[in-house]
Amino acid sequence: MLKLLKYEWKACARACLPVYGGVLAVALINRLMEILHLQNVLGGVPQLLAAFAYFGVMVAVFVVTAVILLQRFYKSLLGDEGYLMFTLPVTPAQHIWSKSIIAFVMCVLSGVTAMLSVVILAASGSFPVDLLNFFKELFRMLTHTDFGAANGLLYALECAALLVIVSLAGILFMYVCIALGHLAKKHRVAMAVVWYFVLSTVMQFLFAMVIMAGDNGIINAMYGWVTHLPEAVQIHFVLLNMCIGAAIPGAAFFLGTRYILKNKLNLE
Amino acid sequence: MEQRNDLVVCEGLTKVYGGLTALDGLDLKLERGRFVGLLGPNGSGKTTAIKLLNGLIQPTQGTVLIDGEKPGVHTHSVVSYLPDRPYLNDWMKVCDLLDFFSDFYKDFDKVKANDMLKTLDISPLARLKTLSKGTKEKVQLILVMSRKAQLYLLDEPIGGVDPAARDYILNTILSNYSEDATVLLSTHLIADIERVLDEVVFLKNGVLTLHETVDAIREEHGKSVDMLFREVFAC
Repeated sequence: MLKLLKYEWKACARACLPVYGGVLAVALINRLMEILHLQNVLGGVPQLLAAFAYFGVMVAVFVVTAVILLQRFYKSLLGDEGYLMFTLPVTPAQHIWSKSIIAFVMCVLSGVTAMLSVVILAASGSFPVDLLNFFKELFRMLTHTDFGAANGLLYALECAALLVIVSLAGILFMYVCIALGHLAKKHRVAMAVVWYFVLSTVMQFLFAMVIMAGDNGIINAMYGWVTHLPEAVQIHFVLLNMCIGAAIPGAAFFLGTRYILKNKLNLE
Repeated sequence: MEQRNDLVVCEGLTKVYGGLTALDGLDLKLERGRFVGLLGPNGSGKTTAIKLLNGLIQPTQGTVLIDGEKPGVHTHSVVSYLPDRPYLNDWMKVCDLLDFFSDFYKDFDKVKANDMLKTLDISPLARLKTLSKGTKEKVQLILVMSRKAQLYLLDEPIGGVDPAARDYILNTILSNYSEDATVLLSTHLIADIERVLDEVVFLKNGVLTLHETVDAIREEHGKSVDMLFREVFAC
């Protein structure tokens, strides 16, 4: 598994990291132009170009990340590279895990890059001190909630877990759409897009059903039960339920993808 | 653990693509330590059979067992497969590919691979995409034959190269597989490989028409495999 992660990281990093580096470099150029008071040089054209370039590479960060992550799954497993990957002594589940974990890491890195670029553009001289103070204040808030330090830190952990689970479920949703598209005899990419819309609609329908179940009293009954719990526990209950609510479809997407790759693989 | 003598067992193996039957009820047993030619004209089902053995496509009917197991993690660890197409990441350097194979296959002999690269004057630092088609095929063959596998599945390894390279490739195959391993090599260039074969499997329109040892063909039919092939598959 670690070996798969290593090669998946290499393959994604070589495509994504130069773009991430590019956005930071363009942000730095914009900032330097401001520091060196070059805004009005040549009628302000260079600054305008630098600003457009920044906008362009920011869009590129997210587009490239999304395209690479989808392409890595499709080409590496279901294209010609699949002849190599599916003859390695590893399970389909390990392939899916390695791809989804690295995809998640890339999504996090793209977000961090975007934030860093904003920091480069806008940060004042006191930024390091401000950042330190921000984290100190965040830690203070978490450890001085009305429910005690332990609960505050647990809430933060539960929120982080929710973010990871929601992101992985989103990535696995794309994978299951591609895998379902692979079941078609031809036009497999187009069929993956069709499956994306079909499954999105099904998910919305199921969500509506859950809301309707609330109207029918199931959720209300649960709500009534929860309100009898201490407030601190109520927050844990809600956060953990959100985690489970995201994990269930995520697990279904994972199992569906694994089933197709294991039992229905047809590299033609 | 005791090794089974039947390394490959196919029973009623069938693959249908849409309305086309690419492989029709293949019953085949291959023992260990044999060099087998999977022979047939284009479109006879050779590649389909090899892909089924690798689990890259799923049978419409029938079963395939390698070393007693269905295609999966175990069979992948004992089968060394050379596909009929480029399948390696072409952004990787040759040395990266050696590391890749070394990481995933316990039976990969990196020293042997490096020796073969040196013999062919292929730089380990070269990126795959900078190499010619023929050199890429040689790199693929070196990687596949540097494993000490139980079964080598070689799909058209000599199809796209010049006669000189063909000799090198056949010699590489012959000098790098162990005695108890089996090689199943598909091709329609019979004359080039006849001298190395122990037995042959003829496929015609997805149907097995002959599975015999080369000696038996010579004794019973009084002709070479190449001559028999031309007779059986005459247009």
